[in-house]
Amino acid sequence: MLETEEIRLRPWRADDVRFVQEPDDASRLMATRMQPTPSTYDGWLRDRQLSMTAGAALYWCIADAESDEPLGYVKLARLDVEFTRGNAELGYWLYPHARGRGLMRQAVELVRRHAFEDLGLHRLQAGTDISNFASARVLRRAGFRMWGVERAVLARPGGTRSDALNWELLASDDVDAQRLAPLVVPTLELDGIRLRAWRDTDEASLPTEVDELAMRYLPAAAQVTRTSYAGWLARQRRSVDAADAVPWCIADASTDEPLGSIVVFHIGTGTATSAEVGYWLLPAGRGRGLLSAAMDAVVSHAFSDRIRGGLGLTRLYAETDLENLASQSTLRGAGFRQWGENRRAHTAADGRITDGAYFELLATDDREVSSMRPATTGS
Amino acid sequence: MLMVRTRCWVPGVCGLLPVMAVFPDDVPVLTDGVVTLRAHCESDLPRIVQFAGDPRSTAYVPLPSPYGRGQAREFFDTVRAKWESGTGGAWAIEVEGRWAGSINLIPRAPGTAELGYGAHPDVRGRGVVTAAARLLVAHGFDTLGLRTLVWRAARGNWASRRVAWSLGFTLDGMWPATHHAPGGGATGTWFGHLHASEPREPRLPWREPAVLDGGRIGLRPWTEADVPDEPLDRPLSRFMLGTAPAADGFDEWLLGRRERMAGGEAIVWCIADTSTGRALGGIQLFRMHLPMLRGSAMLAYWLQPSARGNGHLSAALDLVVAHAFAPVDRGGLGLRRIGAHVDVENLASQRVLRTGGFRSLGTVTGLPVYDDGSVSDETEFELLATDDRDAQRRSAVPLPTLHTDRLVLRGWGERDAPAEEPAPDAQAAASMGIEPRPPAASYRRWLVHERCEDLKGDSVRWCITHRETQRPLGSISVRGLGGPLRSGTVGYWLYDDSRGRGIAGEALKAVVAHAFSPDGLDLLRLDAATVDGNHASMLTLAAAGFRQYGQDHGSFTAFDGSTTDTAYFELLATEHRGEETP
Repeated sequence: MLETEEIRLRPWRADDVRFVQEPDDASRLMATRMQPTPSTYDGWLRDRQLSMTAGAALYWCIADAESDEPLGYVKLARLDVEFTRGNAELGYWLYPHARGRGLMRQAVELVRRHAFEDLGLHRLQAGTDISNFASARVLRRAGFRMWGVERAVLARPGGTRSDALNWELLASDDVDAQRLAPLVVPTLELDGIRLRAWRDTDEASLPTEVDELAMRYLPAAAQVTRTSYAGWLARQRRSVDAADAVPWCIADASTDEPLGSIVVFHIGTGTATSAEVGYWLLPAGRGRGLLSAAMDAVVSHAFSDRIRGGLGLTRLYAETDLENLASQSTLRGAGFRQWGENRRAHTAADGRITDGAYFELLATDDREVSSMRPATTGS
Repeated sequence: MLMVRTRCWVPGVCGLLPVMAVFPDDVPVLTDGVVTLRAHCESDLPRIVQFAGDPRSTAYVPLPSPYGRGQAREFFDTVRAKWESGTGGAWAIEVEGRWAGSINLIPRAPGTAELGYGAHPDVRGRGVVTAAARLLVAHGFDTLGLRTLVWRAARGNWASRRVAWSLGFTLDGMWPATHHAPGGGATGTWFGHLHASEPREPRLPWREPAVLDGGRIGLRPWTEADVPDEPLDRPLSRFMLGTAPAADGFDEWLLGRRERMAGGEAIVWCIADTSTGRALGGIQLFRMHLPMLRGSAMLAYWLQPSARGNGHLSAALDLVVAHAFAPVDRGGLGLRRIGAHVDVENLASQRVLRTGGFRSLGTVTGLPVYDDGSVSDETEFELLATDDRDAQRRSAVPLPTLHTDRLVLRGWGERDAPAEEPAPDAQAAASMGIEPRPPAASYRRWLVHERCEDLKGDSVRWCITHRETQRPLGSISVRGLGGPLRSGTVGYWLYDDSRGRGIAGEALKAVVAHAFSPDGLDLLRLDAATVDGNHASMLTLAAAGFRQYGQDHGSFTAFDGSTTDTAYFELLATEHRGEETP
């Protein structure tokens, strides 16, 4: 019996038609061919029964464990394809009222165990539209690995195109080690500024072009413009979901206008508890000493225990252009120590090849002692 | 459309035909001004006899043989009887005042009839039957109130299928060995349907391979004469099974390809030698029929064994890519994306894609699964119409053999498989991120993955061997090549019984010289990182002229689980040449 306290997986039945809803906008876009309407339900059910009889797929109704009302759908398809024996494609949807309760997480868990332990499959795969964050979160929490992005492959209504993310999970994978829960971007209230998550509406406050200072010192695509913002924000959100980064907007405490960015990223590269820090200010935010306060708050958050809501990191590192003295001063002020500088190893946004300066800060460092904050901070 | 003389259309048992019809008076006349459907008449009989005597008629339609005026008369009587009993309606197709064919509706179920047709040889290929069928489909749906039309034809009867396709019929499938085959025996039956609510136009384009000229080779449709003249070798039978044809079963293969093209799913070209016309191999675009992937296609290709190694596939690929991305109004396919997936072991195919500008987007683990139960991995590639294709072309960095006093540095090969699994090596486990030594049991797989890496063109690696014994002593590589920095990262490891004799230093000096040589990698900079405290490695780097530029702390987890500090080194070409001192 595929069952949890909240849901039960069972076959779809003819009388489920009473509960069949018209697809909402999200389902229409993402689950076009998977979801029936009240008028197509009979044929939809018959097609699936036929496909199950042919051994091509398995389809379950995700039903409320108590009322037995259908809440959603989960399938294992492509069981009959040559050259992919032992492999199945996972697909699913939930009705709007059943979303946000972790039900799909439970359903996928039940199906995964059933697929690997009862059916003897060796691999599950899934595909999501790159804009479908909710579905990707289900897969990450279930331990699926994302192995590739196909660009512009999906044709959407209205002639738009979308990228497809490809996911896999092997029976031989360490599923628990691979599970990823999204990180949290906490709002941190500081003196005069607030660190908060970026919002769609921040686009209006961004410049139309990258300014000269940013071109000179930032890697390509680090700073955003109005044009690049939507894509940049989507990437930030994906890296939060992939537990790779916590990006904050440095905003004015009173107006909430964006003044800059600070991000902890590459979480878990090198060692499991290392991460890189990156930051930039918009012209309006410069010369006000904002970064040192922001950096202190971010460092505290990064080194705080997970149990207390922090990131539980032990090491932060940063890389700057050797000529970017303001940035180096910010790092030193926060207690970072320069561990090296190299030559011709750093590429700026404008394509120049320059020298780099490298910094680190360990959780065990005495930051007060190592801090070399100048009398006036600036950037 | 004109419709003359209707009367008393009472839905009968089959909801189709007038009850107590009088023939020919009750047979409605349907016309579009060029093609007219009307009742059959006596004067049609001679041309019906001509129709029945034509080989293409007898190939796909079961007709009495011999077929004379008597048989035509019998047909005429049957038509009349069916009208009068309400069990079927056949019309004569009239063009330019003459019988051009017959077309009929046969009741199959309430609201459903089967459409059938045949044309006189001298009107074929002029769209006459399509026009006739269009009239009758409209009549069936709009006047008779039918909800569904079905159609069937012998597998291979392309003329019939094209008419059904033109009118928007969906092909439902093929029922094998259920129809008279041309020349005797049995062939399959195609069957399809059209609902009243559906548009009466093709669902998907009927794909036809354009003839594309590429110099020594050209692309053209396959013909019956292109039977492969060489047997399938291992790459073809493993990687291309079912895609590449064998001599045995070629007709069936060809029919299957034509079906996929007619269904809008694929375009299959023959790669032919321009001078001899010989079929060298094939190239195809497929998965073109899925609405969700509109504008995208997958690519596959193969060559017969003797045709390989001449660049024919790259030439064919260029032709297909240009044709696929060209706008429809310029004779192209107007695609925006081509994808391909390749077994990681199929290095030849990956080479074609990478040199052709395709980007790899990732590797699937655990697919495909072969008939013998073996499992491989598969790398997926893509190329977008908007990509800078030339900037994306990649090929393996040339790997010259380097000689030193005691060593020969050359590529890893089949003969370098270790005799047994590497013994635990505490020093490597504390200083490397992964186990670098090749495994004995799965050495071939390890080597394949190394060679896949080579094809990306951003790294180069040598097997360090003993000059006399030719035994592998370790490995040395330069990675991170190809960017604007003209910089590379050196890495090396030695088997534990080769350490302490200056072998790494000797190999490193040869590689550094090659890296900075204008005839070699022509780099401006090299760097390296080593676990801090790995004094042997640090000394080796220093001896080769590298300068330590920094050391960080707690930054690296070795594969024994220990977290260590890392020391970083660099060397500029100018320093190496003595123009600068570090």
